Amino acid sequence: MSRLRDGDRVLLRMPNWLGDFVLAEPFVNALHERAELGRGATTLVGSARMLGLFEGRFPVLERLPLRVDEPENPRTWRGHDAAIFLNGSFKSVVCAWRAGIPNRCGLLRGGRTLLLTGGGVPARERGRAALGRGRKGRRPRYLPRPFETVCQELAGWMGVTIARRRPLLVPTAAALAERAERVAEVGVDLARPYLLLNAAGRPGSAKAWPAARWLELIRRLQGGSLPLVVVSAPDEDEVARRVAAEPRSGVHALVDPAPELPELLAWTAGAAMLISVDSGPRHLATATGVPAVVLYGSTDPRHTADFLTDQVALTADVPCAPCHRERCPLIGDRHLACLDALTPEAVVDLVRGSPAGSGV
Amino acid sequence: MSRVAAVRRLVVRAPNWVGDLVMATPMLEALCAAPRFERVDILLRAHLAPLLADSPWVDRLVPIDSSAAERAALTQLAPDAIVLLSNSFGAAWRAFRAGVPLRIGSALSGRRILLTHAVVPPTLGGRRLPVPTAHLLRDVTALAGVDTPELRPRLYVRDELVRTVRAELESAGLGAGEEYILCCPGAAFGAAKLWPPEHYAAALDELCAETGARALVGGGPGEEALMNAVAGMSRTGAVSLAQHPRDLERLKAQVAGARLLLVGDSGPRWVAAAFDVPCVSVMGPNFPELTASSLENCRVVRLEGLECAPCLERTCPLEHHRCMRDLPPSQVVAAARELLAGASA
Repeated sequence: MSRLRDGDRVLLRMPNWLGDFVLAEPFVNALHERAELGRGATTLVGSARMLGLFEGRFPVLERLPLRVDEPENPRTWRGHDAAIFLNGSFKSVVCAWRAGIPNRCGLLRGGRTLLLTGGGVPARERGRAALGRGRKGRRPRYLPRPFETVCQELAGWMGVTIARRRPLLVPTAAALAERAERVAEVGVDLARPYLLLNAAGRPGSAKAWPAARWLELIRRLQGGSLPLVVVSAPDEDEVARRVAAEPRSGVHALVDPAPELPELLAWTAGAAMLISVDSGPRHLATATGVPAVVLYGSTDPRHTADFLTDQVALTADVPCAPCHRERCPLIGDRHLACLDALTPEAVVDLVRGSPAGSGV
Repeated sequence: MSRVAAVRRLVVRAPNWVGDLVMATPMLEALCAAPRFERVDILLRAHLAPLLADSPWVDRLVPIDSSAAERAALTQLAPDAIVLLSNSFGAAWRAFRAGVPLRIGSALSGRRILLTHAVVPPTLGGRRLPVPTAHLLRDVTALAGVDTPELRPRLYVRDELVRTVRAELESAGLGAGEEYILCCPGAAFGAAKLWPPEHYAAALDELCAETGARALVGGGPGEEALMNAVAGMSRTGAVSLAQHPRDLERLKAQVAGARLLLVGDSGPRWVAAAFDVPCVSVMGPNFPELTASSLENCRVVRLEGLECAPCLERTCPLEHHRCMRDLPPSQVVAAARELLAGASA
């Protein structure tokens, strides 16, 4: 292990996936507390888009935002005593090595193990597949675990204590203003709570609930006591566009443009409940204390199995799931069976069965 | 029939230490609530059963007081699967010998070959790295197809017992309505985890002077001398509970009613976590990473920079015990102040 010493300047390479980025916030907070106590500065390196979620927070932390397709630059990484990698990239570790950072820690997986000086081999599973989890993974069968667990353990090996486990994100005043502007455009009554539907998903993805299912769900939920607000990501907005094209009372779609992350955070924070596939925005709900119904297709619930007291998971008990693949490898009747098994009726039942959605 | 449907009767083998058992309560709750199992029984050492009294799953408890009794219970219950939340080789061996078809647990203590489903914790250079026990328990439970919603420990205590214990504390010297700081200086693990009684007394004196609370010194069987020593060295009238009724059920009520718990690296720390009671835990020979969960209302205080620590030994092999002796009360008091300030904010 390569524990941090007092005075060590730390470079924290943030995850590239939105969900992991959000779940790493407690680690960032712990390093901020360390810096505030004068025990050593920290620089955050990550996507500029995602670092925007920390705007107005962590004033003593430096930031090195990366624009889209911008490579990591060893020159800007020089002068740090330790680098901690919360992403899985080999290139990031090479960059730290080229920058002369002596203490390079992360999960020891794949080729980057050769360039890391500390960290640990991730937990693994052996023997038969976990009950109800479908197929065994490929060797070496790393154990699916919540990302915040990984952060907590990696921090512990570095000598950093994370006291607050639950991620916390706060919408900025600017994001709330953007939401207010959008409200005026789409006609949502913010005096009433609303259901937020994250109907995103790359076409053909094994995580993306089919558009027809989303539209059926919207049809079943509309007219209830809570208005519906449908969001999506750019290039994943088929459902939102179809909703926008056919105006219905009490159903609003945020398109043209799709909200950027800060605005999406503001919408999430103000929602009574989020309905989402297992993707990054569901973790915005975790970080803002908003209840959620999460639809799992190909992903293993164990990867995100924490802070579930206000989240309800809908999973399908099919023999091939979870496979954790982006594209379904099966054809015919078994193609996307994990998503097919998730019905709008089941989602409605979960929403209405929860305290937040009982009035729906 | 799917693998899930094939498992109708489940046995959970609970951990053997108080702290580990309390850490396991969220997993016990999740397993008992899982609709896929027709029946869930919890095997645990008989002396620990009072800790889970008043819990919703109390009727699932199967207390055992010997290895033979454990094996007999397994044979009688004839489960389809066992979830081993105890990491001992013996628990896995007895499950294997009893013919339990699916044996789910962590691959520790040389028992990997006895398990059908195993979690291998993170390693470095082939050696196990310290990770929070609560994480490992959750990983094992997930191999049974059950996700644990959160890691916050779950303990329950009935109102009647709370009132009874309060009355007992008042008969021991606590004033009516008076707040108290509870100190549990003992450690069943071994002498290496004991902070000197004079340090406990000094910390209690300072905290009581600042808060106006009374100090009560509790403990388990065999810890009476230590309890009396701490109370005897106190200059602010700390009360030893050595001569008063004490058991695990009462411990829950005592901790739940405390303003602060001051404890070593031992079980009561987790009881405090279950009841959201601020807690300062003094740690010496243990890896802090092994217990790095439920820290929202707990501060672990230890001496940094000692080459011999942590050693995980039950008694100090170097006979100086510096990890505990050199840890000043002022550090503990500072941690307690921070917690109490946060609690009142």
